[in-house]
Amino acid sequence: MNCETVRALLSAELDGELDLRQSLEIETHAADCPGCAQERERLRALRQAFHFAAPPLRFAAPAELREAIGLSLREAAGLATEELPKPVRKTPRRWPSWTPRFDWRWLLLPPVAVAALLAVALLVPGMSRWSPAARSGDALAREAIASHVRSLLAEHLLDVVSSDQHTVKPWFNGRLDFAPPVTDFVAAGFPLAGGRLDYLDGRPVAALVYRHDKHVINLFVQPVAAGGESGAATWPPQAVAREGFHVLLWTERDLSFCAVSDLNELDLRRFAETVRQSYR
Amino acid sequence: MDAAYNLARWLTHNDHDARDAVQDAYLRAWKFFQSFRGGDSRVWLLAIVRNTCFSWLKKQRAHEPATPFDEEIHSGETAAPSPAELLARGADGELLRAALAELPAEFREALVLRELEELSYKEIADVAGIPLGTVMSRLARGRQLLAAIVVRRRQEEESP
Repeated sequence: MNCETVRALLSAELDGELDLRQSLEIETHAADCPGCAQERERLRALRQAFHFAAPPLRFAAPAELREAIGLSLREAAGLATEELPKPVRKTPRRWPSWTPRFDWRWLLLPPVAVAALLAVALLVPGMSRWSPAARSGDALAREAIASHVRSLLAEHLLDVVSSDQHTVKPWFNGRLDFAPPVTDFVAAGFPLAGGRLDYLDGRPVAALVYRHDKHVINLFVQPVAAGGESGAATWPPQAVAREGFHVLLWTERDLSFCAVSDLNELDLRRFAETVRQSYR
Repeated sequence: MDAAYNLARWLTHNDHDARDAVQDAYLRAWKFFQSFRGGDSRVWLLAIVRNTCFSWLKKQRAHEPATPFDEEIHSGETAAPSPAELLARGADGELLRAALAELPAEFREALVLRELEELSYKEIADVAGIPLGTVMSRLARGRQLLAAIVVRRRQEEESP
């Protein structure tokens, strides 16, 4: 290596971005070349200057910005949810688009609508909130994915940061009208990262955050809606895949669970099974 | 979010525009989340912030006379300060800050991502959408220019 090559690579060497062979060659060259050795020291000093600069050079995001972004993401998510089809309301909403002007067939519509509503009602056993029929699981899955993404983007993943279930569980006291089961599944490969309060389907829910390798799993827990038949467990879970995310929805005793992650479906099912076993 | 704001702040030079850029970038990220094909979400987000800032800068420059960066003045080859000198100067955050702000955007961007966000060359390449070799040369050149600016500013301070 000549001086020119060495000078071109010094910066990368300092950043630890060269392979071993190149680093060794630079080392050897610098040992015999005072000019390059000095240049290397100079760069190292500059590097140090960045780290020990007072005041520090890195700007921190202002708190108001965090709030503003959290708010606008929430709004954006709200709009996105509004556009989702709501199966039960679908029939009445469609009327106007069917008939631009008056048509005697209109008269047929109310009985048809009533029949449709009845059919839906009959199909829904117990009207449990997260049961697939009460509300399209797909719509809920979309909302859950939206919450999941928002939690990652807005860096509002955790309100309570702890891998200790005895810290996370009491944190929800007074914040929710139910006590979510909180267990650390570190032995199964799903360590607990913490929890936060979130909104799903128009009500506050517990969001428990688990990790698996570098993936984040959001587990939303909420009670089965009032009037719901507790004890009607839905298993295996309803699975929805969308935009690279997997969502699993299931009910166990009086609680509804919704797990969202970019994890592969097999691992997420294993996670859901682990959660279910602990709560049975 | 600190990383996003820090990058935007260094690229736009002021708090107000940085806030706008970050907020805009987050909304875009939200909208185009479908286009996110796994990988490091931080790098992906920073790339959006970066592109938002650069298109904003382009708009600004459209009605501002461009001041070409003078390689002659900023050439780092002539005066090489000793390492000890630079270290003593480096502790002065204000001087380094002013020097970094003076660097052309492409070098500034690379240095901010490397020194302040501690991204790898591969990650910087992904954020800025440039080849790995370009990251390497921009950082090498950027550091030389920065050292030269620090020296020049120091000399100006000493003999006004």
